[in-house]
Amino acid sequence: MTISSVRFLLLGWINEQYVAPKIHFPYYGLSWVQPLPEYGLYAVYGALLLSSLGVMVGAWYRISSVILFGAFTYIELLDKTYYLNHYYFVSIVAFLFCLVPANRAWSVDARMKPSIAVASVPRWTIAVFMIQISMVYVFAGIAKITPHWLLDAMPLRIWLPANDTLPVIGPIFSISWMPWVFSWAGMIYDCTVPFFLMWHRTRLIAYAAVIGFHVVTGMMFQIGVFPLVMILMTLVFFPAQYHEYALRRLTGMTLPESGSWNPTWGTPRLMVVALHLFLQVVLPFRFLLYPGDLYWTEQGYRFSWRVMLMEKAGYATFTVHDPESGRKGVVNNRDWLNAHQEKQMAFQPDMILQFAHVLRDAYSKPGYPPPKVTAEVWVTMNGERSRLLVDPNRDLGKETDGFHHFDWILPR
Amino acid sequence: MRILAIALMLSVIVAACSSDDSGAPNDTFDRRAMLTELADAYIVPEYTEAYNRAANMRAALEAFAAAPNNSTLLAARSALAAAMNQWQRVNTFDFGPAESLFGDLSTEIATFPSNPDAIERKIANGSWTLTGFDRDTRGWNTLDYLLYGTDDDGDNAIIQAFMIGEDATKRASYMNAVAEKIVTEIGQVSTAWNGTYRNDFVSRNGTDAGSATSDVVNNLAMSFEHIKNDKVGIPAGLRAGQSRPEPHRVEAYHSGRSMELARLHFEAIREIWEGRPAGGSAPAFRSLRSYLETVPGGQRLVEETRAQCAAVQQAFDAMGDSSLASLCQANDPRVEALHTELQKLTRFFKSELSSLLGVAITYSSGDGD
Repeated sequence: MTISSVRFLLLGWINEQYVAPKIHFPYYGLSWVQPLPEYGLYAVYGALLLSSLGVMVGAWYRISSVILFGAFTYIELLDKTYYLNHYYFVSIVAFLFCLVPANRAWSVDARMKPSIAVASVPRWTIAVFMIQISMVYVFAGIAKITPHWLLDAMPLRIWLPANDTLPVIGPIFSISWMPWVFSWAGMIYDCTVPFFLMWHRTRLIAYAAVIGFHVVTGMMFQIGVFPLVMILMTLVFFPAQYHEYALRRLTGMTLPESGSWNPTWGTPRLMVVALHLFLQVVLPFRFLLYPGDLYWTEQGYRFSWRVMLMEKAGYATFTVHDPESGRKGVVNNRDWLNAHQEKQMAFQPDMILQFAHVLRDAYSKPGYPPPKVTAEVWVTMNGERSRLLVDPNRDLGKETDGFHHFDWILPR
Repeated sequence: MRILAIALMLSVIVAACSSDDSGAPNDTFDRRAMLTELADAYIVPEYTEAYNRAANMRAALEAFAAAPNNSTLLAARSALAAAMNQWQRVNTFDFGPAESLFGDLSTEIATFPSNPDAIERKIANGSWTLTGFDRDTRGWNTLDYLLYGTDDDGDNAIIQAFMIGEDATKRASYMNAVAEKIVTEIGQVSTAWNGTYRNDFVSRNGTDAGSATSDVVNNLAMSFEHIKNDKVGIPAGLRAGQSRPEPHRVEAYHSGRSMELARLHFEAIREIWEGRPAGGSAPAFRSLRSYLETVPGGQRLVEETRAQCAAVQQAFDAMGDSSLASLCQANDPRVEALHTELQKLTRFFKSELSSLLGVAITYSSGDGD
């Protein structure tokens, strides 16, 4: 079996420009992940570019895959403003690439050193990608089984009409019942498509659905390269002979006659994969440990394949109470944050808390206790009236960050 | 495959049933028509007027410089006031032709406060450029200083500065150059709107980050925050880190017209959002308010926005005749009350408006599926 074809999705990630604003929102416990100076960041991007090419063509594969995972994940960890499920997915795939031998056929490595070429690899090296993709879809599908999504067709009732000027498909978005069709179809697609992809009789039609789904969502939303990643990644569901045929036609090269991969550290690799998959199953359910409405508090929201589920926006006003003069001062968020950071911060409690701590430290004066920092945060979800997200009287400067429940979040 | 087909059919049936009892709008809004009306009924004529008034002002300033006396001074001041008032009606549209490599038009001609010391230095030097980053030495607020002087200057002192002494000629030519630059800058934008940019604007009728609707929504929110933060908040000392009011940081400090300008600015934003002129006989046009009325939750937001606009208007009306600077200086509670009402209105213009309309506010990717 070969997994050569999945490599080539690694093109095109580098286009993302890294802007370096005044402050960042690191993940809890990972605040030591700080941006390098500008030339350092460019060096990381350079390494990312080279290593992704290396992984794609299978050159110095092992070191390339490790650098790819490290560099990409480093950049993603710098600021949670830019968290996207599809970046998380890319990080995971890059991690899994470190564990599998994706350089043993149709690769520079195998060309240079034919002795490493093999015709087959253990089943798990392919299956882990199939399971991972299936989990992405199914968790995304389960998350859509809510009254909001299925009965109110929200937020698609906002998003579809907003896209009515798209070529070809735009006009159907203005039909009043279309959001319900898309809501239900999206849920059913996410929940079922991995299984149709696994079954050989439905595979082709399911793959057509994959292409259709990702092309449409790619046109509707600003989600960059993700549709392409998924369309190409899903090819892993096709059996080896498809890939072999396609690659032979493309490159004129053939698979080695025989040989199978004998992994060094085979058992530890398998254990890491098993642990990874276990965590993947468990993490999306961690929200159950927190009280309150997940969509409102977002405690346990990230890393769970909850994608495009709500239209949420907020406006956060921070007030710093100066202990010296007794004056209250309102913060202009844009003095500190770029537009994207301000937008994301304004409805995510953990970022609100981080920003409050930045303000507390920035306005502290020697000889006085740290200033009280309060926030009035109005958040609207799915077109509903804005409500206060956090207790406007609470001194957020005194609240600690962490994985515990934030009792200063007001119930919805 | 059969299962998939059945599933899809089921979903269509369910969808059809559940849509019966919903309050979904039947047609989506014609954004192109809205953009057309907004451009033709408001932006283009208002920008044309802004250019005409700026040109009148330039003529009046030149007349004053050529023959400084009481009556030319008064004429120059009233032409400046007319032009600055009209500027408040277009400063929201700070995109497209109003954007340049060196900053947008608002920053270029409407930076405040001006820096009298730096202005005097430039005049005394007798040579200057009007393209650097020292924008506090040009634009409306520089003219405001040159025509009104500092607190203790009487009108005679101002007139004499243009008549007597070696710097009088330099002073006049500096003033004329600053006026000329304003006219040129506004003229370029006005020409663009009267020409090809209007069609470009109307044709970008999506809701993505490069669309005209996104431009208007984002700039409306930014322009509104400019009133709250810079025209009221900072002079009143309400910004974090400030320990006292800074009344000299109001717009148009020297003429004392800050309050009127802030009020006009707010009225323009309200009118642009509402699509209905505040007074006069100009016809209504479709704008963001009409668009909101067609989306889920929009009617509610329209009502809340109108109510809060009325509250802001009341807070403005409560100010009386005192200048904004003197109220700030006195820590007058009415200024903080105005700031609070503006604060309450912000979310309606900023987060809720773009969220309900599904308008992109940044170029970065959203969460992906």
